[in-house]
Amino acid sequence: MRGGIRALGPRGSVAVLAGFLFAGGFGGLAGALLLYLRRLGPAAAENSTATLLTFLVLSWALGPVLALASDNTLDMDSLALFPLRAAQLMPGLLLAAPVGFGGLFTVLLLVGLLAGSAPLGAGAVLSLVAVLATLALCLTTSRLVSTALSALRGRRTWRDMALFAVPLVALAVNAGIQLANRAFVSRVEPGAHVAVWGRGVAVATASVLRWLPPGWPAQALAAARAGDLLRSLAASAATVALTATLVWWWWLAIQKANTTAMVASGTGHRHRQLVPGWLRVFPAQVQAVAAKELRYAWRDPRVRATMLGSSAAAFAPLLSFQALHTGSARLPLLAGWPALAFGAAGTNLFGFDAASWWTNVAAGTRLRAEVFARTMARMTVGLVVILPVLGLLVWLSHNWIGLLPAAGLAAAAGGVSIGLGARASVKTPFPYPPAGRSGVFSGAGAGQGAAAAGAALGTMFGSALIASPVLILSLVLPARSPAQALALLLGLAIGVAGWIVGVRLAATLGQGREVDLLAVLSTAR
Amino acid sequence: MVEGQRRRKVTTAAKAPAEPPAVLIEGLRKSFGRKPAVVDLSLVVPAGAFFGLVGPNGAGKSTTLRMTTGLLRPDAGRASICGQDVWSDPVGVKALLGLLTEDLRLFDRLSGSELLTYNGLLRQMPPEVIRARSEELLEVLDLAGARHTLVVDYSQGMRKKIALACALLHAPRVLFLDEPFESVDPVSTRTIRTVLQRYTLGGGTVVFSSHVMETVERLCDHVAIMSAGRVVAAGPADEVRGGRRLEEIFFERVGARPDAPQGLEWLATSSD
Repeated sequence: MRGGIRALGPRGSVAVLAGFLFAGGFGGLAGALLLYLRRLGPAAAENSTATLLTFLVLSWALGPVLALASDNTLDMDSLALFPLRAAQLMPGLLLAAPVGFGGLFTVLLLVGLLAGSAPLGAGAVLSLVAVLATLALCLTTSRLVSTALSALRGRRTWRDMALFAVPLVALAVNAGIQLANRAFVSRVEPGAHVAVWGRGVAVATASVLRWLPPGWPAQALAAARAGDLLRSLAASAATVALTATLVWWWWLAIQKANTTAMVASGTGHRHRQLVPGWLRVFPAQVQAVAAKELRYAWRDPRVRATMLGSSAAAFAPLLSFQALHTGSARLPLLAGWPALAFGAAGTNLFGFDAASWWTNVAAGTRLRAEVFARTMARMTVGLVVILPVLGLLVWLSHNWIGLLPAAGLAAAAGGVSIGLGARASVKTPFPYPPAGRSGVFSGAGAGQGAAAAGAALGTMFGSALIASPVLILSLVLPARSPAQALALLLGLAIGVAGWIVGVRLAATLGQGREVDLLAVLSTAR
Repeated sequence: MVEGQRRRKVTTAAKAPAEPPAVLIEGLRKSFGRKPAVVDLSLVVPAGAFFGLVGPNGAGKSTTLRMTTGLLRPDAGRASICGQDVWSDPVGVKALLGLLTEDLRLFDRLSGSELLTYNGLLRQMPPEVIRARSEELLEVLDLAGARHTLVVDYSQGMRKKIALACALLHAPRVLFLDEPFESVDPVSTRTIRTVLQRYTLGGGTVVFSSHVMETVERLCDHVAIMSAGRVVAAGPADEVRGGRRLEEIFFERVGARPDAPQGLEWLATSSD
């Protein structure tokens, strides 16, 4: 760890320190909240503990999958180069496992769990055993998964999938939080159907989880608290036995990893024409760049992860709006938000192509064609993201006329933000790290996050301001009046104008500066 | 036979006074920060030549090629391709040249076939011409079986070959290749060499950088030796060599030691 921090330099060290402070603070807070377990009834406490421990063990198990995309220290394929046997490697790897943010968070959480669950006397000792067994289970599971997956690191398809897993897991966690939020809300609003359903699901899930291996320590803690020492001992013994089995499995996995060569991937692809038929009406350079962008929207894990992330950013706030339950006739207007968020995420159109963009410059591609094609491709993907949201909102509102102003607002917000994003892309381009072995989320230059967020926020606010007349017009008109078609027309006009003006501004700004843009983007390594 | 044909053609080209040189570089200069990379570099590459630019790592070969192909703005000096100034008519000049870079950063999430189509469309070639030439290039370069495989899954040799195919697709008049034979297996090397020789026989000019003297000596009829951003020797290969091996001239001009380094005697012992 010391070596890693030294390698990061002063800024990296500050980031690591901040990470520890965050993990420590968050873990300490979570641990403190677990003191509340004492105030819950036995069944509720056991269910809560079982859910928490399942989440914890799963996090440790998923860690190596996500780390495939970001961290390659202590990889088996690197360690296999050293003349070390499995028995020599295992203690070191096991001790290294809890070092870091995750380890600190876990230890603080488990201390809180112990303090919130353990009774006095012999039950306290058994509770400590259960908590230590949980920690051992977490570490062993993590190492086993890490070792078992090491052979897959050489496969490009697997690394791509791992990159995609990062936002997927983030989404799943977000959805879980939303569900839990609904369950708590139900205490305030007993009439909300979704909330009651959410709480029911949570209780049913927890009652199953307590019987699964990660839930066994929860049973041990509950039994110790209830004074059933024999049952507590049996549950902890089962956890220890499972951990021992995993250790043995891990030993086998190390043996295999040390003696098996990595296999590189090389899969064929289903043949399709690069340029889809509908693009062929455009000039050749526009066809090429737009078709490439559309291919990359799915094939490049960095682009795919970003698209998913911006789609999630577009959807997630909608889940939180209580308005979804109101059935308001104005509900479809919320579609303006995802359009705005998706468009504003495109403020660095050349970033992902930083390393390869020389191809386009060497071919003498006109910047106007480049920007037009890239924004058009983004708009196409945006349509795929926004249309389902729009349909859902219209369906929830029972107001089919609402489709008109909502589509107009989405067109205005999306078109203007994509246009302004194009200009920002030429004004302040920066390279994203190439999708190399260490993944997209590693090696980003210092300050890139702030630059990206600043451009995106500026684009979002500016676009919202320019698109606001559509919203105002729609609100002035009766919600179910066919006159709402005026908002659609106004929105389309603003959106198309914003897009075209943005593309023109970007092209004018970058005219003759292609080589300078290339120089900025070529810093990607 | 091939060597003889090429030399005759170059001699003929050199005698035609009306034809501008394929590449003309005058006083090119570039610094990165305070470190000079290329210093007042001037070169003439005759049309139809197989021109080798040799030098140790960091000599400024890649920087020179990038400035000459319009991918890097020089601090001073000018470059022209077939008589057209690179920086006053960048789009027109780029139609005349093909480029293979050393780091091979391509749009590698496209398949080999898609990458060729992409490059062809960027150069505004008719789709049917792109299709026909792509098929032929993939066949000749032994990539036909991998045409639908993503370039990211290609081996290094395959990447070099697909990059060369992209550079050749529009039949450029001058082909710039940065270390085209580095990290390439002997079979791919022979394929690339054959394609390049066929290209120069057809009147094309090849400018390639390398630090492998044997390759340059075998292929090139003109060479330039670079060291610390400067040209220290240039001209027809026979003249530069002066009857000696190119490697000897190279060591002499760049001031490197051809003898084995001293020390490291411990390497002779086993690590027990």
